[in-house]
Amino acid sequence: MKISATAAVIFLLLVAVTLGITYWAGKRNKSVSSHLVASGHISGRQNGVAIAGDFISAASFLGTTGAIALGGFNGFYYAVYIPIAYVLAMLLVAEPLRNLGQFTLGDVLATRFGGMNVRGAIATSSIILSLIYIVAQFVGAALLIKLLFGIEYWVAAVIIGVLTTIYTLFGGMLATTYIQIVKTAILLFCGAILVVMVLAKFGWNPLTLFQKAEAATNAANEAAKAAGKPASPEALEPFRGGALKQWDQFSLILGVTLGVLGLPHVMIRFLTVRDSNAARTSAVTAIWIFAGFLIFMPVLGYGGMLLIEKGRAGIPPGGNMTVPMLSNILGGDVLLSFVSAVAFATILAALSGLVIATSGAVAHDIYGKLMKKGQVDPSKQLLVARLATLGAVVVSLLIALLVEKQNVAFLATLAITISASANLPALLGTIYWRKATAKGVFWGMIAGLAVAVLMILLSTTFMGESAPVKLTAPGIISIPAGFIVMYLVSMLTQPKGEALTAANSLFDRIRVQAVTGMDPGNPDHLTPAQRAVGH
Amino acid sequence: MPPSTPPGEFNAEQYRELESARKKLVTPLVIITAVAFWAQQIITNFTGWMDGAVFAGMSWAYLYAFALFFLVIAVTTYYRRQMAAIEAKYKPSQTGAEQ
Repeated sequence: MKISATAAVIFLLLVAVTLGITYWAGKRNKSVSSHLVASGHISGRQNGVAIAGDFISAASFLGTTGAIALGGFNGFYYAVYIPIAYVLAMLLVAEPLRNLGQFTLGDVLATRFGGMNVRGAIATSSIILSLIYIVAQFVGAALLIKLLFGIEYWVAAVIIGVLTTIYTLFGGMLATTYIQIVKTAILLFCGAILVVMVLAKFGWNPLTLFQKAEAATNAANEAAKAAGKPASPEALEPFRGGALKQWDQFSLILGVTLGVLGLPHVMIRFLTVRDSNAARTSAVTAIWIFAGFLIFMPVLGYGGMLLIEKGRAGIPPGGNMTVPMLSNILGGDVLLSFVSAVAFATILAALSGLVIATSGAVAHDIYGKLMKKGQVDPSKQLLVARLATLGAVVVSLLIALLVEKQNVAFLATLAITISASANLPALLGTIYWRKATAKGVFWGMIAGLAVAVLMILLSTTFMGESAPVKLTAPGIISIPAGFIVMYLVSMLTQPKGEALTAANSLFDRIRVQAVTGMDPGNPDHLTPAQRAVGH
Repeated sequence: MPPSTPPGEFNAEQYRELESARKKLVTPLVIITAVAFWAQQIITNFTGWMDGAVFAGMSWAYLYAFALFFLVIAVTTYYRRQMAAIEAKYKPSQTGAEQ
């Protein structure tokens, strides 16, 4: 599919707007704090809209719709988990994170475990998973732009890389935030137009659309049965393709749901606001946007399935082209151009957030805290942050160019599973579990990371049918592994005597700060009866 | 970046009440959200209990999935209101909690 001059005009307009934002933000981006967390000056509502822009990637928008068109009800799993994951993040992580953190997830762990191992481990885990995520986004984005605009893969990748570099290098988190806000606004507008146009074709009744989708898949399955071919998923019923596929599906959803709570680029968004109240507002705003947007995904998915010529057979594998093809049918070249521009903005917004998260872990955790022991010249740290920003884009771009022909769909799953298996146990253990120790948290992270990576390497994704691990999504094993190792090592390394008193006192202090945002100073005046009990 | 620590004097007793009130609010909401979601995942993925139509154009599986969207709206609305009430009770001058 190639699009016209209309697309070029809309595309250039979008780039002009985002570069204007970057120019405006660049004049204010003068410190490490502004570069990494917009100096905490983003309002709760703005941040909520930006979080939605950060998380709804091209995969969520185009992929989920395609998954519903091709896979029926099972595709909707990829929409339902998102608001649920953010509710859990709001209740368990967002506010304590804002009250304990400064620039990165490492700050939260370092408030309790001062040694370098814990901060180093979560920084390494964050950098690895962010880079994997960036590469996955890069490859998917370049393939999508290649399809939409009819340009070469490497040209698409370089354009995306150059624009992401400009936004993040000069505009930092402030530019990233406003680009994410713009992206959310045009994404919602685009989604609303498409939903209205689809419903108009089905008498303004979603149930009519659902009935026709069900009838279409039933008819296709009858024909397949008569021809002795396997049935395809029905539109409205869950599809269960055998025990292995069911466990794989469950493992995937477990990983992506819990992974949200430990994703650095998602969680550092809560550090861009003033206080925990604003963090709560951010989460609520984002959840409402997710719920309002994603609940309409079946309308677009079934609309595509019914309106695209030849139905499911007319949709290319993967389903990513469902929305662009649907928009072309409904609104011709203009709507297709607009949808393509939205997809492009979606890619840039998600990538920018990931790049900032990576540069924060490098400049603040690795350079500032581990290499310079906190004694760092702010101007040098800003330079390192910018170099890390550039490095993250260049490294990811080079990898993306090398793996064009490879199937890298597993990378996004791997990244978010590492988040759930390594980062989440560490965060929850630090914030809520009195008996957690530095060694327990450290080895829990190592175990979660190692099991997730090993399982992917030993799975059918890499080794084909002879692979010893049949699951392609490792979450169901790697997430418990992270938690269990953290628990066992913590229990084996419990402090005694004065060290125990000091550890308890520190935990009480962390709890006060996590709940109130207030450092109580000397925590010794807390009696045992007054000690906080974690959830 | 402004410090997250607000002005105010730390009061251990007030803090303990705030922590307790927050825990009483958050724990049930986490349990309700997690159970509702994972029950949906397990039931639809591993059993046929949700197969079949509620009425024309609506399956039980979809009805449950849509209900989860309304659940998150209800949980966020309730949580926000209750936290506002809790924070109003424990003002910054007493606990340091920000408003």
